[in-house]
Amino acid sequence: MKSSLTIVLFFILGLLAGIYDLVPSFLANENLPTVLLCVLMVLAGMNTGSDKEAFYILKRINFRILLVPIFIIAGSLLGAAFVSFLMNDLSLKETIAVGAGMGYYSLSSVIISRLSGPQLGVVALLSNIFREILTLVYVPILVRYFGKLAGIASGGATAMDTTLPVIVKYSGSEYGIIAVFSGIVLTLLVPLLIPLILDFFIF
Amino acid sequence: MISLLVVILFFIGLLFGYLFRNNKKNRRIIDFGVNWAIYLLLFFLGISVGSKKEILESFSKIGLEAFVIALGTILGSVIMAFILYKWMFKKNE
Repeated sequence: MKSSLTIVLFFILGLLAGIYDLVPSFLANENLPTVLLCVLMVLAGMNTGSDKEAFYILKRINFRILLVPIFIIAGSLLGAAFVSFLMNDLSLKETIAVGAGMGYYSLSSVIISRLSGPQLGVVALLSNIFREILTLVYVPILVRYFGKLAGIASGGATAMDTTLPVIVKYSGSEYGIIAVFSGIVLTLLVPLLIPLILDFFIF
Repeated sequence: MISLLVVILFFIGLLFGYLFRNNKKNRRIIDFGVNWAIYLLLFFLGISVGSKKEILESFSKIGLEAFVIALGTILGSVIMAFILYKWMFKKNE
């Protein structure tokens, strides 16, 4: 989620290097991305584990607020399952795995491309970028018709950072802490949900 | 099995992060590492997409699928959030 422009830039650089066959041979090593992903998972875990703000917010939650990320996950996965009938070359499992990215496109796309392949990785990258952009644009409308949790739901994992300002603007500052809590929980669950869906579910 | 490894490594990271949460310098190094690992992995994803003709040729179809999944997840989550809002949040306002 950090510096999304840089992330897209690196993807495009790679794309160009791939198209014009400009890949240096030391980067062509098959195992390099897998090793890098393993390093990333440890670092991403450390990043979340050392987040003091996260623990401060966790202390303030109650049952009602705890239900927010649970409902958002259920809704996201159900929504993805529902549209999977429109996909002619993606299975139910693959579509749900993309939906489980929760808008966290950087991490979800790299995990999915390692576990499933580059094609689904690109679907995850684009789909979760779209989720963030659509949230930024449509929060006012969603909040008007679906209540004050709508922006938090639509933003998914991004509700804790990139889409937080627009959520607070339209749902009110009292929903800011719920947005950050929900975003933290979803951010934490993305790297767990995707492997679970891709490898341990039988569809 | 990479997926199991991914989950286990993430938990190991969580534990270490929690144990060393008071070191500010560590946090900056971790942040730097996370960012560059993601940049490089997306660069690699770009390479593997760029060198596969069949993905490039179906890029508009892939984009459309991605868009539909985004719409599905947004609507699904927003409807569930609406149910929760009506049930537990609205009456308290």
